[in-house]
This record gives sequence, structure tokens and C-alpha cells, in this order.
Amino acid sequence: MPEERIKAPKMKRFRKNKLAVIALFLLFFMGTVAVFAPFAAPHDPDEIRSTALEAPSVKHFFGTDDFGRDIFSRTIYGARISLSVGLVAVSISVIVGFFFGMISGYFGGFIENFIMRFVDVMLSFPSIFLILAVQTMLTPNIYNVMVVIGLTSWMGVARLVRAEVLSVKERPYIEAARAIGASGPRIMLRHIMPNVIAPVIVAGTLGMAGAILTESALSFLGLGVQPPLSSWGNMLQDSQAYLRDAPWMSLIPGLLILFTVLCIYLVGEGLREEIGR
Amino acid sequence: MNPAKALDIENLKTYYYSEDGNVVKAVDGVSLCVSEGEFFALTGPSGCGKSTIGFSILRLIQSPGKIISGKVLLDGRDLLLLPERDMRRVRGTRISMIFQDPFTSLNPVLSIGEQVAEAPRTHFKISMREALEKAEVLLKKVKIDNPALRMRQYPHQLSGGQRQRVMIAIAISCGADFLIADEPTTALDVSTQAGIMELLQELRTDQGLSVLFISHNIKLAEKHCKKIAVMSRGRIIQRLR
Repeated sequence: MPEERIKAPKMKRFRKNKLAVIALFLLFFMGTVAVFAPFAAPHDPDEIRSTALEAPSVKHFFGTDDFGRDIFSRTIYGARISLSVGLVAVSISVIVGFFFGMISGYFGGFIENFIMRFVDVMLSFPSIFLILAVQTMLTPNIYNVMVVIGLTSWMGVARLVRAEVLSVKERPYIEAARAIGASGPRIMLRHIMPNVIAPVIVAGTLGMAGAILTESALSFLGLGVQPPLSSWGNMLQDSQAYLRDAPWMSLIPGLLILFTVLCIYLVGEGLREEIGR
Repeated sequence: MNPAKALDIENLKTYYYSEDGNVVKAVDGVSLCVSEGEFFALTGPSGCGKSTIGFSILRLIQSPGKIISGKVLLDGRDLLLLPERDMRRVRGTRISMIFQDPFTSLNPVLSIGEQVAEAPRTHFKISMREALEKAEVLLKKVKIDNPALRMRQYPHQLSGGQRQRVMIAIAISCGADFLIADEPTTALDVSTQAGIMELLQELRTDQGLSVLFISHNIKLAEKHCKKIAVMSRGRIIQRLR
């Protein structure tokens, strides 16, 4: 089929980008492990198994923490929390950002000004303090963490989408759609949206890394995911006091955060190059 | 008055207002009448207001332009007085428009099939599957080679002539019997041009399509059209035949 031949080069650059491919593979692996945590983890993450602060061994790959819980199992369950917080928070921010960006780009005028000035205001808050303030007022649990992170990180997407819509809506094919009687919402959803989605995917990928970092920071400060649930952030917090006696306790979740975020960035960069923005 | 009137424009005025207060009278009192099944040519130099007439008929004039006065009569109804909702219905089901540049008037991220199917879905409640079947029939009607393959391809994989055919397929997909062809052949080479003109002629004789053919190519107009109006500076200065 000639179609095959023409489509082939599409993801070629991404595939050539070995780092991005490896990163994507690792992320996929982590995601799978997180989804099947009950099967992947050797022990119950909350079970007190041995004396506290046991060094890594064959029995406990990553050692045990201050309560004698298996760190390996806890990191696997923690991956669930960290990855899902990242995913949900980014989904929220992309949906909200898309909505506002689309509306302000398409309608222009007063609506655009109003939304974009609101974006400016939101952007000028130091968001970590805003999140901390909101979290102290709400009961800190993972759902609140997801929503709060999502609702404080949609502004970039909104700006991006607005800029794209501004350029797309003046193209002749939008005029052509109008000429066959397409309504406003239809033009936005069926004709403009598919053109705008590519850069948003890139932004969303990169945003996910940020969301995971923010969740870690929140949990580290004790305002995120609450014990006994484990997330990589609150595992780090637990390990603070034992930095010298049990370095593995802080190293493991710390390195995991580092690698996950790095992988996401590499995939995001690969996509960015592929899409060409 | 033997053939029925398809579209009757009376004393249409469309002005553009620039920010420094200047008024450009793009269309300044134009009257013309296109009969059913007629190929009516509107010619004139660039910037004389030909295209503005096309956009005015469909009420697609964007600010800072404005239709000042006049009548656009379709079946005795003045389109300029219709509420926007009814006007949207007219676009596509009664009057359609195709544009000069087939390279930019198709959406690059939608496949040809999706794009042609999209048109009937804007006006009729039909499923995507039905719309796609309909789209393939339409592509056959506009004589695109290998419609089944083209359905799955994207605009950049088609030549200019094929894209213009796709545009025509979209234009007639909802049953429009009046087509505004705004320089449909200008971006194409001579032989492709002939093919497109032939297709338009065929649709005219087979389906009774009336065409308002806007072009600065008077020769082409003379060859294909019964009536020709020549415009300059927003007015019709000469009527041939």
C-alpha cells in the first residue's frame, strides 16, 4: 500500500531517539508494575516484618524502614500513588487549560481578555505556597492533592492552546467549514481541536513530571499523601531522621523520583522534536 | 423570464471600515440575477469586490467589513434578514462555496473521508458510518480516481486538482443547488483547470446546479459561461451576452 510508505517516516525521528525510546520503555515498565502492585510486591507494604532499619538483603531488596516495613514493596505501592497523582493532575490541568484556551482563542475580545488576565493572576502566585495554603485548609488526602495540583497548573496549557487557536482559526479551511454551515462549537471541536492537540500532548507530558515533583514535595512537607499510605514523597520524609544510619531509606525513593521525572522529560523532549515545536 | 431565478441580488453594498476611519466600498450597489442551472461569471481585476460578493451572499463577511444594504433573494426570502440559525442552514444545504486555494482549504489533520463525511453530519443526524458511505459516493461523483484509497489519505497526499474535487464534493454533499466558485481554478495548471471546469459543467447539466463563477480569467469565463458581468471598483461596469 502506498499509504504505508508515506506514513512510515512519521514516528521515525522518535524511534531514532534511543534515549526517548528507552525512557518510554522504562515508564511503561514502571506503570505496569504499579498497576499490578499486589502481584509485583513480595510483601504487604504496611506489614511490620522485621527489626527496623535492616540493610538491603536478599530477603528485603531495599532494606526495611523505621517501622520494619519492606521498602521494596512500599516503593512499588508508592509508584501507584505517585504515577496516578501525576496522571490525574495533568489530566485535570490539560482539560481545564484546553477549555479556557479554546474559548479565549476562539471568541476573542472581552472573554479572551478576562480569561488571559485571570491566567496572569494565577501565574503570578508562587504556586507551591498556594498549594500549601489550600492543603492546610483541606484534609490532606491523595484526591485533594490531585485536584489542587491540577487546578494550579493549567495556565501554561491555556496560553498554549489560545495561541494555537488564534493561528488556526484564521486558516481558509475554517472559513470553508463555516461556508458549509458548521456551527461555532462544531468548528471548535471538529475542525480546530485536532490541529491544536499535538503541542498539548507535549506540554502534558512535561507537566506530568512537574506534577510528580510537586506531589513529592507536598508529601515530604507532610501535606500530601498521608501515612500509612506510601508515596515516594512521604517515604522521603520518613527517612529524614535516619539519613546517616539508613541511607537506603532515602536513596531509593529519591532515585526513583529522579529517574521517573527524567524518563518523562526524555519522552516529552522526544515527542517535541517529533512534532516539531 | 423563462428559467426560474436561482438567486437575485439587488443593489448590494458591502463596505470595509479601516481603523483610521477610511471606508472601502468593496461592493457598491451591485445587482445581478442568476437563473436556475446557469453558469454565471463574475470577472474583474483583483480587489474589485468579486469575492466580497460571494462572502456577502453567505453572510460570511468578517469585521471590519459590513453589509450595508441591499437584498439577496433566494426563493423570495431575503438572506440578509434571516436569523443566524436559519442562515447556517442555508449554507451547505442551499448555497455552498469553494475557494481559490485548494491547498489550504482542506484541514490537514483530517483524512479526506472524515472531511467529506463531516459536511453532511453538520446538517443531518446520520451516523459516521452512513456519512462515510455517502462520502465515498460523493468522491465517485466528482471523479476522483480510487475513492476507497483517497478516503483514507490526508490532504497533503493529494494533488491540487484532486483537492479541488474534494472541495466540490463537500460543497454538494448537503444538497446545495447553488455553488459560489471563488477562483476555483486560479491555483491550478491549465489542464487541471479544464478538468475542474468540465466537472462543474457536468454537475450543472446533471443536477441543475447553478454556479456563480468568480474569476479574473475572462477567457475562461467566455468559454464556459452564458452570462458574464465585469466588475471594477465595486460596481458592475459591463454585462456581456
